[in-house]
Amino acid sequence: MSNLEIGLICISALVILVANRVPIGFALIGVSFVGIYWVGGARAAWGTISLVPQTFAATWALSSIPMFLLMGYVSFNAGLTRGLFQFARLWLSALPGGLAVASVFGAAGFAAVTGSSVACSAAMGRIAFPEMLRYNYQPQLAAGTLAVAGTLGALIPPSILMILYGIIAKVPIASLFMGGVSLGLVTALAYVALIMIRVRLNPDLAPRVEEEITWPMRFAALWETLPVLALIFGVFGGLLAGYFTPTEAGAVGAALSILISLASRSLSWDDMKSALGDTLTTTSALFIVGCGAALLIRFLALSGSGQFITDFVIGFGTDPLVVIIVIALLYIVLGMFLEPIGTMLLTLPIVLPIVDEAGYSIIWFGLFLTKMLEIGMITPPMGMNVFVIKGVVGDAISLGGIFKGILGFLIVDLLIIVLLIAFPDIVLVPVSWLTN
Amino acid sequence: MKTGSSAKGFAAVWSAAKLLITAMMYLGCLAAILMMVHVVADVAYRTVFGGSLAGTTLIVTEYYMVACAFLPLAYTELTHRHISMDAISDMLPRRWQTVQAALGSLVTAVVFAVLTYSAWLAALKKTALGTFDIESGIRLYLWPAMWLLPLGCGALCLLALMRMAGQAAQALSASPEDT
Repeated sequence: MSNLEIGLICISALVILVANRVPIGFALIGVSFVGIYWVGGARAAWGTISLVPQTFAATWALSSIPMFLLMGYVSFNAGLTRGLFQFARLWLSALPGGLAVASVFGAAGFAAVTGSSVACSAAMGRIAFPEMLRYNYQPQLAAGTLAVAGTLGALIPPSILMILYGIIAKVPIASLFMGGVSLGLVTALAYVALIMIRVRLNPDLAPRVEEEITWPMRFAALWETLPVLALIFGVFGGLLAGYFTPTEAGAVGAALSILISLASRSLSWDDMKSALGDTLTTTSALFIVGCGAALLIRFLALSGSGQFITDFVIGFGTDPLVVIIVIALLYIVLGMFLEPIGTMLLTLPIVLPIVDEAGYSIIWFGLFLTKMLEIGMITPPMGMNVFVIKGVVGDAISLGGIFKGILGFLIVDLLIIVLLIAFPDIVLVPVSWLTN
Repeated sequence: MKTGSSAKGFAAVWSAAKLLITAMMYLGCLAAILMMVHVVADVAYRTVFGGSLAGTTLIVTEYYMVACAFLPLAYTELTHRHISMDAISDMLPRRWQTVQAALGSLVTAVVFAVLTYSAWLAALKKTALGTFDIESGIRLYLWPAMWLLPLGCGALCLLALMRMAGQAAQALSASPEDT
């Protein structure tokens, strides 16, 4: 049997295992080991498997992942971010759909202290959904807004997806973060525009909040956001001023979040324990998938099947536009069933060389991919953010209702993808500021 | 009676295994806290005095990171937090889901037996050699950290084997209507 056939058999086995609920990381490791054994023999297989997991985990740049996770979980458990929504609400209530607009900006703020969109949706959902219902907002609009606003969590730095992408694609994480700021802001503004247009056309969706808001109230709300502003300023300020590197920023952020929550007396021992527990289970779940992806990369290289797939796809549609559209469709389908980090690590070993060969910037593709994966967080049947919001709101709205509420935002997201393909400079120009 | 006493023995082994798995999770938490403190101390030292604390990078990567990534592996599996594709499975009939669960345990047990074995051999070799690295003139022994990987993988392998035993017992005792 040729190496290529072995490669294709192993990839098929991988798909079958993953579809049958075998954890993605375990399936990747098992299939890659068998594949390397088959193609390269026992020595190669045992040599690779004894080397790769250890060296993958012992990577300095990846150490920011557990630390950024800890920062996000501590901020969430200690309720550091509670003030963000109130602040946005009081300052933006005059706008059409003001509470929904405030949730988007509140989520954007929370995104700056967390690297995952699930945490972002959960945090905003708990605070903002009851408020919106109280003022008779349409539940579909309210829940839909919160589920999509959560996707900002992975776009605006820190972003776990971008850190992992940076390691695997060997591009600077700081550049991805810089592009992420731009992409996140474009996304937030597009969501806000959609909300305002929809409410203008149909004011019943979000009745105007009849409430006397005074300037002292607004400044009091600003004061309430001080802890989280201090955290954001501390991490990004220190980073930009050159006191520490993006990798060290994770540890500094985690420590700052603990100190600030202790100082504001909002962190209990139970909060801390649950933050640590979530940090560690998430870390080990991510790292075992990462080890598996690293092994798959070795296997694809050894068997030559990676090169074959690249040549096949490139030979098929020489137009780079066709290539990227096919990749986008692939991720939309995968996003319906898989969670983002699993999808990314599972596919990157195969997709990255294709994208490179088609002539796209690898940094641009990292941002494009992050956006695609975040769309997967809100598409049925497996939209993690939607499940999170459903968990938060209970019986106030059905799962199908939330998905309906997302429809408009989904169209906006697809327009942003088109924009990103047509004008890559939206993210690449900010990235170039960093290098100059 | 016989099945009763063996069930009791099985429960005792389960709780011992859970204790071990939880203890390893706590060690992982400790590593995360130490990593945070160590990196912040390094940043502070550099900002105030210039230069850096010797060995920070090595200790962070070889000790803390490996501990954070692999010691909680079994606990993560125990709490069903490993990443898998559940969307389709939830719609399948119960019987098929039982088969999938058995397949999952089997693959987990085999994959982590392989990982444990290879990491065990690597750790033995490095321990015999007394492997160390030198950073900023300080000699740092790395061989003790090599045992974290077989420890974490071994615990997960053990958990998968115990799940398989439980699933087999259930399959044998259950009447066809239940499955």
